[in-house]
Amino acid sequence: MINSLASIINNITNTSKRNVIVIQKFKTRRKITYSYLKKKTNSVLVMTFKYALIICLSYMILYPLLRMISTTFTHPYDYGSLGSIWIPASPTFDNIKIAAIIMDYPKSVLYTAGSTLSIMLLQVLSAALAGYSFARLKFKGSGLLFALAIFTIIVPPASVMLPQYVFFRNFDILGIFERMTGEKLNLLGKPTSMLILAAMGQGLNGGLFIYIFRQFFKGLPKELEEAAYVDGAGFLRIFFGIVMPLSKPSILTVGVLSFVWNWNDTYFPQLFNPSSNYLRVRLGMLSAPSGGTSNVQLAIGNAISKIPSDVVRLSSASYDSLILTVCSLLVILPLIVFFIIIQKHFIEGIERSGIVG
Amino acid sequence: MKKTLNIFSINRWYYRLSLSQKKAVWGIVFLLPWLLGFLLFFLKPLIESIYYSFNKVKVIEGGVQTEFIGWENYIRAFKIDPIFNRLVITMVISALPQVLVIIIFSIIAAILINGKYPGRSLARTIFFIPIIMGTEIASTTLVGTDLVSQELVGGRGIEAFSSRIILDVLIHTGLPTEIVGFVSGALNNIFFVLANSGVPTLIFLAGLQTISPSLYEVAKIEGASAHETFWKVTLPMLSPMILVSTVYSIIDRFFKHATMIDGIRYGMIDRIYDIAFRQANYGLGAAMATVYMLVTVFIVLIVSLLISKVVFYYD
Repeated sequence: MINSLASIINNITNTSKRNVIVIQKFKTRRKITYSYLKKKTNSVLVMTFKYALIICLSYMILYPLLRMISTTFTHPYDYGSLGSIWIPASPTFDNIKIAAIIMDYPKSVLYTAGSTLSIMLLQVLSAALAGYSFARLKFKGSGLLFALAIFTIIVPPASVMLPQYVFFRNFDILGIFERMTGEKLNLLGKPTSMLILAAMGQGLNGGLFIYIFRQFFKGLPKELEEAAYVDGAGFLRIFFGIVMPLSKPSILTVGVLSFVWNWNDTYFPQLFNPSSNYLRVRLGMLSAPSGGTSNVQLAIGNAISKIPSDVVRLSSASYDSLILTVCSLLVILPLIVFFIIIQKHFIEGIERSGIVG
Repeated sequence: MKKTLNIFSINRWYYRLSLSQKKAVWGIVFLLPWLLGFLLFFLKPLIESIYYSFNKVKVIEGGVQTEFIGWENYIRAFKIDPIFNRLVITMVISALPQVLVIIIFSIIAAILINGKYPGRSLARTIFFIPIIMGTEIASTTLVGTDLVSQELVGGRGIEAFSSRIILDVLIHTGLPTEIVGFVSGALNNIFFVLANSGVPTLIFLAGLQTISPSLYEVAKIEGASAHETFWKVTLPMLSPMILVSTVYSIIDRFFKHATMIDGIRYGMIDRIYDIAFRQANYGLGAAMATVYMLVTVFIVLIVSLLISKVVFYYD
């Protein structure tokens, strides 16, 4: 019965719209039966289940964040009490004030953002160049080099950290600096070392970014580049004038990932540039275990002159963890704002970047 | 080319090349930054690091001084250091089940946020928050609140996600203790899984987008149920991404591995860093880093060999 109906619909589609509508109406009316009801209930059940799952998972993902936010405004005396789990009984800004002072907040945010942004730009550029070379400008041995680039993803940065450390401590290219100034350059404690690594594609997860770019460039239509070449454009011009504007999705993907990962990274700053101006490093130092007085209390003690006298502060272990939670929120707050602004483009970018294509 | 290498001779030389030769030249030029970085900051340090691991290393003015001691650093890393061998073993044992759970969860999450329904963009934003949160930040918050609640309520547990009730229920149903243990373990780690699932979810979402809709149309016309469509279309088409995200997750887990020993939290990388820089024992640190690298490469190779046997490539 249904088969014959379908064939009728197929025959009629070419004639007039009106007939089709009539037939479809007829079809639905015929189907308000057991099977129709079953189908309908099924789809409602599936939908309900899906939404329930999404809502549950979303709640669990947001749980730490929501807890952080509610903790931030909890009065120190109320912290942990049953009356102030989600909505603080007596909301206060004191915690934020203290955390911002001991983190040296505005200065650290600017420093971290500037450093992360420049690392991100260099990483995107170097990864795009290498990715384009691997995808389009093949030469003898480029397959082997690509395999080595993948190998750099697998080898953990820890196995090269010691010689890299020594290298940057006695930085010298062909003995130029030693001849000029009499001693080798110590690049530790300066952002330069991290910038050099990023510019040379060896920054955080550099191999992965090269892989993403190569996959994307391979998927671009070759004809565009060939047409440009025939019209007399050089390879540099093809790359910057045609390929890069076309690859906004993958630039966005790599850029966001690089920014976020570098922002949250403690490994490279700790090794090469242990300046306490990185938000993440500051947080790490505050939360590090210490014998005797906790680091939070020490930091508060150091900044005591800047803290207004009416701000409530305690000296207990639970108060320290309260302040640490507030500090964590302050660290990721700029990221959250950045992500909310950029998220729509980012997700579209992932869909079109063909990371894995 | 007898004359000095001036700009014109380079130009003439360049114009005589064929297209593929020109491409090769530019390929090397484009690759140069990475290649230099690779040699200077990856290959050379890697070889040096392996060399250091067989030496007693002293940092002196303007460089290092080495003294060959053979396998002693490795023996010390495994036999004398009280932490390292336990860290290696727990790293391998704990990471593998975690990665399995992370991958399964990420596939489900990616499928959930891939469909079309009202509120999808909100769900997508939320599901990508783990990428920006960073694992450590999420876990420090949770550990913090846990501590306080224990301190204040005497360990009665006011946590919204305390799995204790579920544990009680499961024990009273008479299930074998192994199953109860696994379930409650997975529940305890749920935040951990969520915090680490950001990038795999992203990879799977990108993968789902590459599956051609015509395959689903065919499946629908042939009368496949949703269940069959998942197992026979979606999963095989996703299998290359399973390989990619498994490898990523294993490396990520190993890198961030930390374990509690006698109530103190030790991290793998922190331990190596500690030995090498705070205790100034470069040789021992290098030996540990080499062991860590070999273990990682070995596990990744085995896992990717196993997975690539079942990976299905469409083209």
